[in-house]
Amino acid sequence: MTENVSSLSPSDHRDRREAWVAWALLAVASAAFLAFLSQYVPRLNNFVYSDREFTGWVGPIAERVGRGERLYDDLVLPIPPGSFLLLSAIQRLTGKALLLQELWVAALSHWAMGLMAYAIAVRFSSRKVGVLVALCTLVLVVQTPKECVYDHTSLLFAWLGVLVATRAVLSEGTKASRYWLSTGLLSSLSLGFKQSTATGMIAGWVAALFYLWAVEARAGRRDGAAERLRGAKAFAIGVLAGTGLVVLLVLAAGARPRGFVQAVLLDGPELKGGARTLLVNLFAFLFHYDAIKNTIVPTAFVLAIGLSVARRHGNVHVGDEPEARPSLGRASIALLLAAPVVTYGIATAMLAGQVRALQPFFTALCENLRSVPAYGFVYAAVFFAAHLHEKSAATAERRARGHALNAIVLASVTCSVIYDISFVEFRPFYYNEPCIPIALLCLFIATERSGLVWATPVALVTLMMPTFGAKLNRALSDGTLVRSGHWAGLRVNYRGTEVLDAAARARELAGPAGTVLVLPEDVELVGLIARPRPKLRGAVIFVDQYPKRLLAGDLETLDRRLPDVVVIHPRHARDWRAVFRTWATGSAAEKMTEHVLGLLPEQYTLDSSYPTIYFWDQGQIDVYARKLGAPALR
Amino acid sequence: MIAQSTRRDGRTAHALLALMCVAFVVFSAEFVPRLTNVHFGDVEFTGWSGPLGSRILRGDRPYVDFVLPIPPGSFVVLALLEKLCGGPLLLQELGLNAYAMARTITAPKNAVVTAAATLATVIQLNKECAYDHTAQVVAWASVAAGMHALASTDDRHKNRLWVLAGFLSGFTLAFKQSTALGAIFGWVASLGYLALTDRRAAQPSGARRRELARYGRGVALGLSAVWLLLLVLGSTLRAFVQAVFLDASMLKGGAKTLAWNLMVYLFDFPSYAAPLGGIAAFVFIGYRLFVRGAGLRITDERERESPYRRWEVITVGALVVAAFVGGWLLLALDVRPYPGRVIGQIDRLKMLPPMTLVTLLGIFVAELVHLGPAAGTEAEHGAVGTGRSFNAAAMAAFASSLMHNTSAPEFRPFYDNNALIPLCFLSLFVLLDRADLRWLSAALLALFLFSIGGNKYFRAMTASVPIGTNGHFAWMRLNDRGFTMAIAAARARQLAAPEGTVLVLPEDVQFAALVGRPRPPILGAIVFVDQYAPRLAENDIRRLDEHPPKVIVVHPRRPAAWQRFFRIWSGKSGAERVVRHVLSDMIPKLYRRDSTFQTTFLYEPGKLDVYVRRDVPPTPGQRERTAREASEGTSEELDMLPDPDKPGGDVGTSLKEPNESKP
Repeated sequence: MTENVSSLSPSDHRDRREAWVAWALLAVASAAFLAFLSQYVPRLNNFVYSDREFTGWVGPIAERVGRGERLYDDLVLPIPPGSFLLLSAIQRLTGKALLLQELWVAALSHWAMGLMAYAIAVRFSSRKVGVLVALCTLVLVVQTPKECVYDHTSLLFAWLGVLVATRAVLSEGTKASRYWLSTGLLSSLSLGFKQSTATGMIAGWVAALFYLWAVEARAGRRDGAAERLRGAKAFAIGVLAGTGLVVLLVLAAGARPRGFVQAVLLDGPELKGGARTLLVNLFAFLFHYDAIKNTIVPTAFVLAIGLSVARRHGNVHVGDEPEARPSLGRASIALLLAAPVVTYGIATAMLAGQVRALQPFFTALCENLRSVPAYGFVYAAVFFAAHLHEKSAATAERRARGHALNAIVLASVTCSVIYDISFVEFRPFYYNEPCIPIALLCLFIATERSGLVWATPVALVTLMMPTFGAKLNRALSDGTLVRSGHWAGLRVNYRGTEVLDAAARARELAGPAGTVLVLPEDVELVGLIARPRPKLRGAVIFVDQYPKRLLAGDLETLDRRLPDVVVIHPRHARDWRAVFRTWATGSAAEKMTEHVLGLLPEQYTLDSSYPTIYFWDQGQIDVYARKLGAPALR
Repeated sequence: MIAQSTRRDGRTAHALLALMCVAFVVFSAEFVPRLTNVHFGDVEFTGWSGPLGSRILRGDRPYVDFVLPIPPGSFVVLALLEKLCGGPLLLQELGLNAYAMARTITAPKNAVVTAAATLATVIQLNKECAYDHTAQVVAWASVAAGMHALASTDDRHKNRLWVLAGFLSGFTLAFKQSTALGAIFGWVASLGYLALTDRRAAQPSGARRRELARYGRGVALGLSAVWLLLLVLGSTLRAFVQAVFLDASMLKGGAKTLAWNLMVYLFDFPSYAAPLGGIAAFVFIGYRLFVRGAGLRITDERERESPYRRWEVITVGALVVAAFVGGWLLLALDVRPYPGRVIGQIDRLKMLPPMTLVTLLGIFVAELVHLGPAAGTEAEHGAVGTGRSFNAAAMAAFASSLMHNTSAPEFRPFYDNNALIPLCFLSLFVLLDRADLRWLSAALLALFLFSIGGNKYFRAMTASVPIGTNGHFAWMRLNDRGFTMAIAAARARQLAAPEGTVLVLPEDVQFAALVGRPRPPILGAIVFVDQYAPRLAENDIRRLDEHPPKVIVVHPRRPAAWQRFFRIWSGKSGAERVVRHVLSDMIPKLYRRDSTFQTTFLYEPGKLDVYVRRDVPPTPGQRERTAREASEGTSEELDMLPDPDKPGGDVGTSLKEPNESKP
């Protein structure tokens, strides 16, 4: 071993040193980040659906799966079983079901994404850029306001797919085939966690493989084209193998594959508006929604950096980026060390020190800065075009690396855009899409190559600032420790205590054996109330989760035995209808909710109300108790 | 040979321009008489200069007899020329200005498409008040003159052009203060930029100093002309400064707010559409430029040859004719308006022109990043290099546009007719030409021209019924909403009788003119949030109490509707104080509601109420009804924000308290 080390060239030594330094920097950043998480994760951000987003929809369903209810049969919803099995296993291991578990799974996924971002970036650039990408990835991914682990787990597969594929696109022969097989396997295995992620991954990698084959075939490089065809074949085998694993996962959850196909593959797209709507959305994502912050001065800076790269290097081909060269000088190390330590140090101290809020102007500014990484899309597009011009690459390796980066850009953007069709608006960087590390990579490649000494430090500081955005501000407001129940171990603010009170009252009214129905259904609140639902097959009575085919049966079941307590949130029908109509008018969930609202005057009395926030409006949780002696419906 | 082809291209360009002008006049003949804003809030507002021009003709002195923060130029122009050259000719002038600007940078071919695209964009502004348009025409002319000065190689000619540019910048103050400030300081900044780049290139900076001196002389002349205009109108400089500078900035929120707005425009406000597809399109253009070795720097643009191809001439001609003559034909034949969803799709095309900001910034930054010795031709002939010329003009136009925009809190570079528009189009067409993407130029021109068929054109299609030859709307065609307004105005006129006064609140000058009866003797010319100085409120309230108008027209009925609009600028405006006084103190005591008309107010259903003064004390039943109406009308009222300077002093009486009617 010693001999091997001593036989290394000076540049290899330097590279090894750089690798050690980079990993040491990542270790410091990880320690700072984990310290931050220890304070941050127990501070609940979404107390109820609409407080800002929604949280913890997996744990309560996982509990039901753990109790032996069969997915897609006893409880039907369009979410695959992977995340439920994971949470169920954790619940079984720890012997309790807490929201905190789901929050920690999400947080650790964020950490893993940060490390993966480094591993992805260093394949296409220097160690310094790798660390920069990792640091900024951690900042971005932790901001996602929706904390449901079906998203996080499925996206972990997507990121892992990108990581493995970075190896595949830069390898040849058997090694490449093996990597492509793994990429295919991960792509289809993500179907075990979220359907749109799997669709995006498969579409993305098919596009990337097609691109790689097309550039080889167009240039008349037959060997290269054949190599890509072999890669495609391996990818296809991987997809098949992954699909097999998904079937096993479905069976492990006690579900039937047929039920899974119906609920996840057929109901799922239908609930999002159907194939035509999804295609229109996709078109709008590409040609209507802004992908970058379109403001005058920042645009001028983006152009200045891009033009500086072109002036300095003669072109914008970046195939030479990962070639060994010293990148981590003392100044860089100091910067990369200080950024996470200072940022997370301050944030942790504020949380631990019971600071209750940040200045609104400062929070808004930090929140706005979340849009900065999207400028990476501009550079990604510029590099993409430059790599198409093969003459700009001085060597075959550089040319290949250029095309490899293009393939990764293509796949990650395709996957992210398709993933986003869960919602009707394209909001890059809102969710933890796999394009995040790629956009950051392109952004930092540009700042580094521009030769403008201020560019990278300014970008880094700007990108660390969103840590102090709205989500941290919400966490700071959480001062009340919850000691028992589904939220045990969490801290909440005044809105959280209202929700706790509402849940406690519903629990009390229902008694130990009574049933409670929350409409429109918020699984987090259902988990908090901790009383059985009526025996409805629909697992979540919500617009994009509740298929029409279940409505008639569920209405019958409901009318046969009405719940003892009904919780309505928000009180104003116009509010929840406005949200429902994002996806559909006259949805099954809407009909079910209206049906129950129609029963309230005769069958229930309004017991109590609790103030909430419903997105843009003042909301109200209304708790209704069944009237004593109310006549049965059937 | 080169000169011959250039001359031929020049002739072709002029022929196309002539064709465009004819087609546009034909289009305007049908388009202009169709009123698209029948009242404030229908979409925007229209015709606020003409009625004030009429007051000048009646001998009223601006800023003395009637006070408002708008300079007098447009009123004078309207008073003299309103029948001869209304909106369309001014807009056409903008189109020709665009050609004049573009011609100093690029070939006639690109200048023509720039002019055509500009014309298609500027006619879509929904707000048709001549003070904006006249100010912009003069500011655009200043930018064009400056650009010609930069391109000129003849010293005498150059000097004259700089004086002209300065004069036009200064004279813009006769029309709009914010535009004028931008126009004046824009060229100062541009000359500063040129001096800096001269220094970097180790060139003597004496030329810039001389140019600045000439420009300054021109500005002084322009400002003197404004002063003369004031004297002719019987006004005073002091009153003008008070109304147009001091009141105006306060009415828009004060200096701090305006500075903050500027910051937001530059750093935060979305200025152009940037979808992934758009980014890809720009990268494609960049790629083509790179592959062709053209780059983003346009140093050689004036000398570069890019002669017309026959298909380009035919296409541009055909597109211009199809857009304007086709538009005229549909209106002339009274074709039924197309369905609403089609308008939405056509209006999406409006996202395209602002995207040209990216090409403008591209050229601008490329010139900055590649700072080096100036082009050879510059040193030889005395003209400023094309790239630097473009940047200097872009700075001047941008300053003018930015300042003009301060009227609104959001940045709308392509909503108002800003001087930046032609330079943005110019940058696009020049880059497309350099990238040899002629087909894309033609395709984009088609889309820009096709966007004419959007919401404003649709509204013109609905305005198909001629109203006749009398009154303020004479010779116009109206839609059903327009007729409602005409009927409401007729009712107010009838109630007021020939000598009675009518007050419209919040004041819409167009509707007041349509009523055609005198206003009460108040000093504020327009009782509207950003037009009415708070210093006038107390006196005007007293005058109203002493001379209550015979008729009061309130639109919209719901205070929350107009208050929300007022709060864009101010929560403690003088206009709101006056309106509240009328609503809470005057109407319940002295007036009865005579009639109500259905309207729309900023896309929501609204109501226009006509109140008439009672000549006899109300019966108990009438009193009860009035109290009920007042309570209904003010039930959704927003609270007035306290004045931080005068705690409690500026807070109006709460209308939520029941008002006792006193006989």
